[in-house]
Amino acid sequence: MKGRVLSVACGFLLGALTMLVGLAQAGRLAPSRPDALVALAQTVEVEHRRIDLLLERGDVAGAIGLLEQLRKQPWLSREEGGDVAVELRHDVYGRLVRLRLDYPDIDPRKDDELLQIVAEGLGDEYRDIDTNPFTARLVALRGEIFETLDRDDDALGAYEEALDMNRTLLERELGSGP
Amino acid sequence: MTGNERERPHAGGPAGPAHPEWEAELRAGLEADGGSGSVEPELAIARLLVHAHRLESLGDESASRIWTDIDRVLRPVPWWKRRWFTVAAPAGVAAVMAAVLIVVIARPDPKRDPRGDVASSADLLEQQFDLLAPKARAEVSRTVDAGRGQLRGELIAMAMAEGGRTHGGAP
Repeated sequence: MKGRVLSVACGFLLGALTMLVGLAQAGRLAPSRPDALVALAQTVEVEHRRIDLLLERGDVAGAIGLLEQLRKQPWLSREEGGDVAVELRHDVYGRLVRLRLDYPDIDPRKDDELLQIVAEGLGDEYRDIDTNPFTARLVALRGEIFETLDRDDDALGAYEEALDMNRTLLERELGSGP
Repeated sequence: MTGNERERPHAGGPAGPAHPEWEAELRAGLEADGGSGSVEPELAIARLLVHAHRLESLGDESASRIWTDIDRVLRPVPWWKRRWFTVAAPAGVAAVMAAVLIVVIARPDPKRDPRGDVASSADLLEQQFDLLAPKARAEVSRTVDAGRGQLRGELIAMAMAEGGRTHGGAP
């Protein structure tokens, strides 16, 4: 009798864990619109290559303009495109904000506007998605903008958050090494 | 009239009880009168009064010593010898030394950006991104490729089903 209760309890526990893991990975593994995700990924990849070429030619303004166009396109939500869609968005926004911080004289934007761009790129669900370097970079860039605004406490908080993400990623790297 | 003037004998014989010869003259006069009666109690009072009346003269050495004592009491003590200074001075020196140590040891490097820690964090994060991004991009590509393959499969299946229906319905 006692053994049966224990078996049932273990089964419940296993089922609950499986469900939790499944739900946590649902966005990543099963985007509701895989076709849109493929189209988005192709677009982003092509645009990244174009931006690389523009930067190689020294056309920073062109690269920023292209990233702004990319930014304004409709982005897939996490439900539509899974975690990958959000990572792609974070990558594009991160590149845009990096260039804007490195070249503040080109099409200048106020720091508050940059913060808005970062918030728009991160969205509300960035803490829920699987840890990745693009999100970490965008969080770190938010820290840099806070720093420019002399909001050092906020900056340190953002850096801590980004460092935590990168620490997780580095641990994964070390764990998956040969 | 000073004490010395009082003690000074008058010219022409002892003038009063203060004179050393006055008592001898008194006793001589009593013996000459027949020695009747006693004046000893009166003489004792006279000696007491003479003693009380006589001012003690101080020698130069004694006066100098007394004045030295008085001077020592009255003269203000220099500030560096006062008690509060003996306490306050070491405390002040210790405080100054501590302040100097703190300033010297904890002095911010003028070449260093006061927000250097924050800035170095940004640099470190960017370096980490450069390290991690290529693999993450490859991972994204793999995921998208898998989705693309699945999509292709679905499209082929749809096309085959559509084509089969068309061919099947053709005459």
